[in-house]
Amino acid sequence: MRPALLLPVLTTAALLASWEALSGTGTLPPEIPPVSAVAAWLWANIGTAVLWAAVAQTLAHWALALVVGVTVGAFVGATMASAPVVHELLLGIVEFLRPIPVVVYLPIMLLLLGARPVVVVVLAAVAALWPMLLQTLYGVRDVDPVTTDTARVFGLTTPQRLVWVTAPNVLPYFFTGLRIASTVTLLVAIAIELIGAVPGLGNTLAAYAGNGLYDATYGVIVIAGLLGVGLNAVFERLERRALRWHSAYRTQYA
Amino acid sequence: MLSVTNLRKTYGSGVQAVEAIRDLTLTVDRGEFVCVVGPSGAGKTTLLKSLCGLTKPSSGTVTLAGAPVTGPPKEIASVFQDYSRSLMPWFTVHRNVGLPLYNRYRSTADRAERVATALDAVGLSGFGDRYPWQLSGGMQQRVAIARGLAYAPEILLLDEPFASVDAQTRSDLEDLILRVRDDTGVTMLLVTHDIDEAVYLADRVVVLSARPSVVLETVEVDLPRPRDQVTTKRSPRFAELRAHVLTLIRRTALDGSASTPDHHSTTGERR
Amino acid sequence: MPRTGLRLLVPVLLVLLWWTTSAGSTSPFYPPLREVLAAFGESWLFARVGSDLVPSLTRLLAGLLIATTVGIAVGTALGRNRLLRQALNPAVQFCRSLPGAALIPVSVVLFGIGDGSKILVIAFVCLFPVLLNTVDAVRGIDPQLEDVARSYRLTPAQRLAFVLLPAAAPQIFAGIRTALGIAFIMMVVTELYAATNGVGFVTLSARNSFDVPQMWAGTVLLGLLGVALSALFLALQRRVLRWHIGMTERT
Repeated sequence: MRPALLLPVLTTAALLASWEALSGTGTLPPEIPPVSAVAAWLWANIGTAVLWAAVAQTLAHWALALVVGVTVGAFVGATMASAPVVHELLLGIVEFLRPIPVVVYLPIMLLLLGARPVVVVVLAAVAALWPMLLQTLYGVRDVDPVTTDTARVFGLTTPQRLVWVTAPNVLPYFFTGLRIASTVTLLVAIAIELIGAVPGLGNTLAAYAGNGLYDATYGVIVIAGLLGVGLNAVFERLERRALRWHSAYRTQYA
Repeated sequence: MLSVTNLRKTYGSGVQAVEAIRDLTLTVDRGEFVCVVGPSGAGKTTLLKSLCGLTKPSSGTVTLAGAPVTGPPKEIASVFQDYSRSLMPWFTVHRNVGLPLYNRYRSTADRAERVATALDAVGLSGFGDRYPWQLSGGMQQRVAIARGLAYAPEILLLDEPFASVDAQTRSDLEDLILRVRDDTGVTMLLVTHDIDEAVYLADRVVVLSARPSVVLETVEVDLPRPRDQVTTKRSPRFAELRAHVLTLIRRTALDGSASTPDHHSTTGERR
Repeated sequence: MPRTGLRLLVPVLLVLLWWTTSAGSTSPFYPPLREVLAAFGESWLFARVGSDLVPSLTRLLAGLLIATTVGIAVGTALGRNRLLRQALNPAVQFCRSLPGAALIPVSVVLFGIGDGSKILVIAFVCLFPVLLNTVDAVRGIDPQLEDVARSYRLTPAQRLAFVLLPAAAPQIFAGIRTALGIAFIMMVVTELYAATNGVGFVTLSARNSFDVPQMWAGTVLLGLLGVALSALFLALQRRVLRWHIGMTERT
């Protein structure tokens, strides 16, 4: 093993081992099961359909919400950035609605629509919309006027300018928005499954915890965490790829 | 007073090791104005960092009044090259100059008095409440000089202090430094790649070779004082000394590694 | 029309739309805005302020404060020490990717449904934006500033207070701003999941007792709170980072 990997692996192992030891000696309350028990539960259930159904439901909520939220957010952001009148018209409402976390609407949505997956998707989509809208807005507005002028001087048509000048400039912002949106969407999806009792990881978690099945509860938390790590890794990689061509620019201004 | 004996500094290890300084020996006497001049990448900044205890030499010794330098000594104040990166943008000019005085003067009034004197000496009275980024480059570098003076050092080290200002400001600042030195009698060690500047300011010019650095020659500057931007620089002796130093540098730059990356040229890009 | 007028146009129109479409509404789910406002006045001006609004805000601020303090302290330590950073990297990456809501049931099992349990969850989830931003900021500090601090013999405490933290402040504030948004989400979610008081709790119980205007009123209050907290934070940031704003506007 490379020495650079040795230290984090050893430290993580030590952290897990001390958790195990603390449970073994009874220092931790019985509601926190030892690592070995959580691992055993995961091992026994990793092949079961019930667990994967919950993961699939949460992922479906996440994906649908992300697609809807990102599409709407990017569209509105781009429109606001390119049409000053739209920008002025929508800015007030955007600035007012943006700081309101979507879970605020949950009681109303539950009242109007009941505890159904559509509630999760709609609210998670609204959560995904804001970072996307703002990043697209910044991205389109941030296109250097000199670049645009240059493109005009060289007689590029509007579609050509859009594809060759605006799009490459907006792309890094787009992927930053996408990464933030993905994180928020997952958080909101699980939160609403938890409270609204909509099938998915959040609901599974609430059921296990409510019935005192702590091995299973922590097992699901580990899966939710790994899901988060995995999605983060994917979107960070996408972002880094998009940023590559002007990464030097970014680090200088960071 | 400050002496460097057989100083050697290597960065990295193994095949990637870079020898910045091979063998430097020089002394600076009390009240003297010494300029160190050398081609780009000659390890001038490394030398200064070793002098003020910021880096440990690979071998050789640095002593101040006979005692070895192991960490930043309280007798030495430094003025760094890039003023925009050496002043704290979150503090006003007054607090920037007063910052190093916290451990020296307990009372706020004493500190304020020293700061006021130092700002006065560099012609910046009345600018104490401004922020550094509200001032021009030349004024910012004067703040950095005032900070060094307020520290009341025995030796002031200046690392290419005028490299990032325009030509007019540069000669103004050179004369400011000469005046400060006359007023306070502080010992000065200034590093530069500008030969005119070195000859104009110094009592002695230490000429370094290209990397790995050695001392090529120490040139005594016997120009009369007070010096003047016009008359001094017009004198035949100035031209002679200047030509001599330039010849030394040219020669070393040619047989030294021409591919040596210019380390100072990179500092301007971070803004 | 002046710019501000145009910006206010859409929000005003929306409120008017809400008022007119709901005025004659007989739907139990969509009560007239007049009734919602009446319920708002009854509950939140100021009958329930002490019993529900204050506890909500206290939990949010306590959690955020803990997260900020711990985040800056640990973040500085990790930023300064490469080995520590490498060693704890897997644990930090896992914890920061963990969707915070997943921790609520566990926290309720362990610590009950009182303030402590909620504050802990809020603090844990808010910790990571602050911590990671601090690590980045501390790592990005100009080495020349540190040379200045060392050569003028500032003590480690002075270096921390006068150089390190001010230099890191803009990025730390960005982290706290993210944390504030998450803290608000977690405040509401913890109260919706299980609680005995709080704005979120009142709003959800109103749904269960079918007091619809009260529910809408709670939602309006939560929305206003989100806007107000965000505005207050921006004002604080503008004050603390005045030098940074002045500097960036200049270049």
